[in-house]
Amino acid sequence: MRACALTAALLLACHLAPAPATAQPADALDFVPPEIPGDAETARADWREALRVSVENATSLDRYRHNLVVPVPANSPNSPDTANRTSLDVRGGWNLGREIRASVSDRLNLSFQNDADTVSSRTLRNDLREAFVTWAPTPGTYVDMGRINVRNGVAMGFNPVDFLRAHTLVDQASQDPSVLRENRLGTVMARVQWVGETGAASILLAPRLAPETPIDDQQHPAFNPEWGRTNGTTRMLLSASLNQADDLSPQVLLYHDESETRLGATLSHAVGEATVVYGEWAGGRGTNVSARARAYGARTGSLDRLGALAGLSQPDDGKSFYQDAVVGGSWTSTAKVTLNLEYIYHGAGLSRAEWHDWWKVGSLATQSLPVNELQWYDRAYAKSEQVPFTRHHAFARVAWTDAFIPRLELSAFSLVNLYDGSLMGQVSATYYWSDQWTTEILAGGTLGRDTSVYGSQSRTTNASFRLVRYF
Amino acid sequence: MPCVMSDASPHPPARVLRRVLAMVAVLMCGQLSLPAMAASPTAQEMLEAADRVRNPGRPFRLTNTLVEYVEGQPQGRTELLIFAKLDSDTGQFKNLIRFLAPPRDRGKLMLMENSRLWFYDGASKASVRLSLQQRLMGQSSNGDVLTVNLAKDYSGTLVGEETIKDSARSDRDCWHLNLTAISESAVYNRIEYWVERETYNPIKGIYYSDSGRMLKLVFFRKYQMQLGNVRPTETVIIDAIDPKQVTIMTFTDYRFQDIPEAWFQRDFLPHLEAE
Repeated sequence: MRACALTAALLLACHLAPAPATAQPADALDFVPPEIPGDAETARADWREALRVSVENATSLDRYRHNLVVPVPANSPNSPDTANRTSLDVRGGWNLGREIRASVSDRLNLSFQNDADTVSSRTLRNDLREAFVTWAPTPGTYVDMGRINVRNGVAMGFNPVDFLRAHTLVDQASQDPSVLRENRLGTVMARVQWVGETGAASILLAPRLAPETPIDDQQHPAFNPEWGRTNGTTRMLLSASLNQADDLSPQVLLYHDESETRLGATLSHAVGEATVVYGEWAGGRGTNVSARARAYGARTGSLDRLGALAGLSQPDDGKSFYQDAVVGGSWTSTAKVTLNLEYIYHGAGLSRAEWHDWWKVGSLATQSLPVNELQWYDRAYAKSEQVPFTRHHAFARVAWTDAFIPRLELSAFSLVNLYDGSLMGQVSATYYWSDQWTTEILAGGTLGRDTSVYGSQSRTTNASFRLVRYF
Repeated sequence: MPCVMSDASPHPPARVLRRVLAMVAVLMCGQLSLPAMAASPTAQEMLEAADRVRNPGRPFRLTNTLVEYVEGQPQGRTELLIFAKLDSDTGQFKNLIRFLAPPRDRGKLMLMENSRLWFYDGASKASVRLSLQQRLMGQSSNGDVLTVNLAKDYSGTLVGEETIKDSARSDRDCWHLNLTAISESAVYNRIEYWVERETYNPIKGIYYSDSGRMLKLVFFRKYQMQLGNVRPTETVIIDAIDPKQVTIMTFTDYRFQDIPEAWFQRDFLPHLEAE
């Protein structure tokens, strides 16, 4: 529970920070710059107003467990001990006329890893996150066409209604869910949205553009837009929200793809000045995470080498009604500390008994067998889909702004498996040197018994240092 | 100065947020033109008149540039584009804020409508609901005066008539008001407020925490004709804990603008950048 302890320590430290004595007003004007005569200048726009450009360098170190209870397949891609990524990040939007606007979000990465050749297929990679055009034919009506990152949900650790998240993640230095959202691929779609005084509604259609991409695909051209990750199947999403409704800010969603239909809803409500409570729910007929993984692996050919073994059915591979839910809240103290707590339920994840079977079966051999490959494929699939592998989790995140000194932010989060208490966690410190320069150092890892959900994972600890220059 | 939260944070850059809200509070306090005052106005009438000095009653937009100083040296600069519109039901202003600078915050947006506070980050596409307490996150020197229409959220009593020093250390004949919070949305428990007798211009304010601790010392200065009235175009915010930390907010590019009601909901936020 080291991460929990760190979180608690951070909270405690926030409240033990000494408060300086209050100065007397008589001294107060000594440091006030004088008023400069003249009329207030009109703000001038320039190219930078439409763009957010940054260059980032992230160096990461990882450590791994050996002798896992479920052996990692021998043919698994090597996991690097050290890696360095330099990225040019560009986001921008331009009005092409009174009614038309173009938006682009892109990141070009140059990566080196200690386990790869100096120059490999992974060295240069471009992530075209968004590229779309918006047409506003009438006030409040918007028609979007192109690749768009559509994200729904009000929770932090897991968003049941974030229906378009699967397989969209790109290289990340941090495991913080709030950071993971920043770098993900949008989906090619046509969307019509109406925003009125009382609420909003939208409908989007994302067509199938390419065969689904295998989740372990590492060999692709540097400038591959990866349509197969985001548009490997045809999908549709309807959403509607109300602006008033007793300050609950409700939103309902209906999602449909080639294999399932799901209904979702979100609510949020302010309680007093310091607290916001929120909830998310989604439900529909579908299959559990293992069955989904096997089906995806079969469609993409990832499991072909396993032959008949890949066809092994899970006991729960028939369609059933599965629900996801998150309830939680945020609380902010006068000491500038914000705490988020959430309970996460993922109905399609493994039950306690299924989890026990997972590691029990996997531990029968000391060396990896094909069945182990299948087991790890299931977990890799869940990670790619950004869903918990098991059903019950708790999530906590604390962030302290201006911690001890101005411009320093400390944060920590942990995702705890409620079956066995194992957890994944991370602590980070971010310092803003100036309006242009930001540095961040973070450390994270997994804790738990070797038969626990997180203790059975390969990666045990990681650390990363980021330097960002904004333009 | 940096924002308090990581550029990747799900929360708004708190430093900027606080500034925004400070600015918003400054903006929120007005309606249209100054009414004729009785010979002996009440404290509440003084407060209402001082509110009207600050803001127009029609929907408008402006640019707010905040520069933070430490020991007189500029440390950080934030630019915000603000859209404000009076809510006829509550008497408070609704606000939409678009972050223009610093570069790491460009594209971030905030919506304040009564007790609803939403933050939107174009990078994560996430709309995050915030608590009112999060308005005040960030370095205290950012003295946010923010919140609300003071006359709506505070009950004023007249302490007396005083000659005080303004930010240029010039004498001003003022009414000294003591404002006590009467609304849950009031950010501060108590405010001392000085309003110039001749003009009803707010000159100075001192803001206190719930525990009675002095938080911020604020001066309103550089009065100029804007949107039909003489209004303060600079606000000086001095951190009461460390007076070496000063924030100056400068208001420019005032414009009346029709703002549809539909803009004041979270689903509009992704479209604000086009405006």
